[in-house]
Amino acid sequence: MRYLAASTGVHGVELGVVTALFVLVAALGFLAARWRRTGSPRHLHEWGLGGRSFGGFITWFLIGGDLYTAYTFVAVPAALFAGGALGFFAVGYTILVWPLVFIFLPRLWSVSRKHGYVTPADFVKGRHGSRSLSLAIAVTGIVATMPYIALQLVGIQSVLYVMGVGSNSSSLAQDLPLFVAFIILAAFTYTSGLRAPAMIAFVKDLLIYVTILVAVIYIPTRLGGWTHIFGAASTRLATKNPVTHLPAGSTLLAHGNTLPFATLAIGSAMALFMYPHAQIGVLATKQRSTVRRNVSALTVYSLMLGFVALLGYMAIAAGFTTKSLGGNAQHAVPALFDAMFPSWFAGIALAAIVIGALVPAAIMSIAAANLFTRNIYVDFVNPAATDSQQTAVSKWVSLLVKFGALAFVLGLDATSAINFQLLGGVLILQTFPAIVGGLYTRYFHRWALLLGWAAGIVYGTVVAWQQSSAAQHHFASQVALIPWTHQKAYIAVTALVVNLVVLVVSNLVLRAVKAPAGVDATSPADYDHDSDLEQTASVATETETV
Amino acid sequence: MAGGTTPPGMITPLRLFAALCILAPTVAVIAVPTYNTATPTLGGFLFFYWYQLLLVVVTGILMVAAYWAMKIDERRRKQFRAAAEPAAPAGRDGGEAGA
Repeated sequence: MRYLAASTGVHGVELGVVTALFVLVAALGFLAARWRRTGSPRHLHEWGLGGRSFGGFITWFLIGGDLYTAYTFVAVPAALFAGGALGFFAVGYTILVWPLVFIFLPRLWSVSRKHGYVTPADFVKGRHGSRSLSLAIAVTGIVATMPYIALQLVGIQSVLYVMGVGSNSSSLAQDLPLFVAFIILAAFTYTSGLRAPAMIAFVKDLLIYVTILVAVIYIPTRLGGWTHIFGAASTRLATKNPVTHLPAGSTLLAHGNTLPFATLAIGSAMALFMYPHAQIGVLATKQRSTVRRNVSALTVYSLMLGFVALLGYMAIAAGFTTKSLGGNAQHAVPALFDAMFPSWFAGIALAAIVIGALVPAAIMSIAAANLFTRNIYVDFVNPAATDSQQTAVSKWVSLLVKFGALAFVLGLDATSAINFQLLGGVLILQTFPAIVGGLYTRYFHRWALLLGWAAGIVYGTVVAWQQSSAAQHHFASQVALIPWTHQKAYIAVTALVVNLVVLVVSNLVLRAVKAPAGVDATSPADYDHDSDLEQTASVATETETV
Repeated sequence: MAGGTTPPGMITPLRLFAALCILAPTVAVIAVPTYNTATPTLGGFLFFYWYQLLLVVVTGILMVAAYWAMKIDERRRKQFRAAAEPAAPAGRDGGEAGA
């Protein structure tokens, strides 16, 4: 059976449902400004961290919002659609994330709460006493986050394309709906801060869970069951490309793909909570125990992600080809929903993707704005900035970041947005030693951390740039040969190894020549304390001793 | 209750248990060759796929177990500290920081 990709005319019912749900969500976003207000609205903790007041329930939705982006919904199934089993690393990755979170995020929470850190770079500055290292962390965070926001737009764009509005390429008039959606997103983020995505996350998750449950039960029955779906995927992926004479992939990992699969899973898991937007959900919680308690419940997102990934195979079984999708595999899931569901439910499913893109886009722009304000503006431009000045700068930067991402998507094509996001993953992983290492030890010298970071960034960028394929000259692949071997691995992980080698060697040298270490503003007890009560108590005693 | 007279060390059975709960899914995911096979299938799913989905559920359960183990362990440590220094319970943090 074959279904046509939707590109003929506007789909009225779907567009109506999506618009109605979008309006509802936008209203919630603006209303959120007054939700659970705890302190002075002028303080950056209020706008940028929701007053650090979120309990377990909201945190679950908020962190889920970081994990479940339009990218997950669009790009992961597209990877299975186009390349088979290797794309399923996303499931392994979201399994590995939780043990990691369990181990180190409670420590980051405690020390950030104690010292009022808003960003990961704040922590690095306090811990290592180095403004240049903290600047490096902040810039990496902003650079890696921008294309991630752009990708959320790619997700929205692909929904609009399938509904018959918007364009596959770039033309300002045709992208008007995207533009309108983005202005509204920017406006409610500006007024409500982190509270907006936290509140919208409820609606988003409800829509996503309903959509996935229905999709996973209903679509296979229409396509002749799971056996048929896997069979169709297997046959299609094994078909040789007439140009390269190579199969596109397979439903099991081919020889030589084991290490790429494992390193993609490990590297992505380690990278996720280095992204400032992922940490923001953790720093906004009320209690230390909230983080760990939530981890088990958060695995529900990983399970759903696994089923979302398999939508890529369903699209194959439904007869879609990259050609029938307008040459863009990213349209696979929206087109599948459009073809399989009655139009009213397709509207709900497509709205789930759109709203699923808004929540992370808002969190990401807030996180990038906080980084700019705290670690560039305050540290290098205006050290005497008051709380309300900081909030004002953050709000404006959140707008700037979003329009930068919009320009990105409209100016370049969708493929380059994805390439840059992949590069972002390579870059952000290089901050791991300074952040996670710093949570446990001060053995590493601040300059050694900086040198290691620089080495990893340069190596990763150069290698990623060099990857070419028949279709693209640069950034064609996330995996590359490990130097001096015939084995491929995820570039981010190889770059991290380079980073660590440079770090260890230069650390030995710097310690040998007794280079001045920075001042540590934290104390060992800061990493374990677990409540506001204890914090107030300790602050009180500190003042007494002084 | 528990605690007794010996202070809880760095490694306790509870912490060890939590560490195992965390390590197990990590090792299972990294051991790719152990699950890169088509059979046995389950409900039409190839082994490679249903095994990983099942692993997600198992990880969720192990994380609950690790959470409770750490919680009980921390409670025991607190009880011991409270018993060790009955006076000025609030001064603990500041005292350590100043030392």
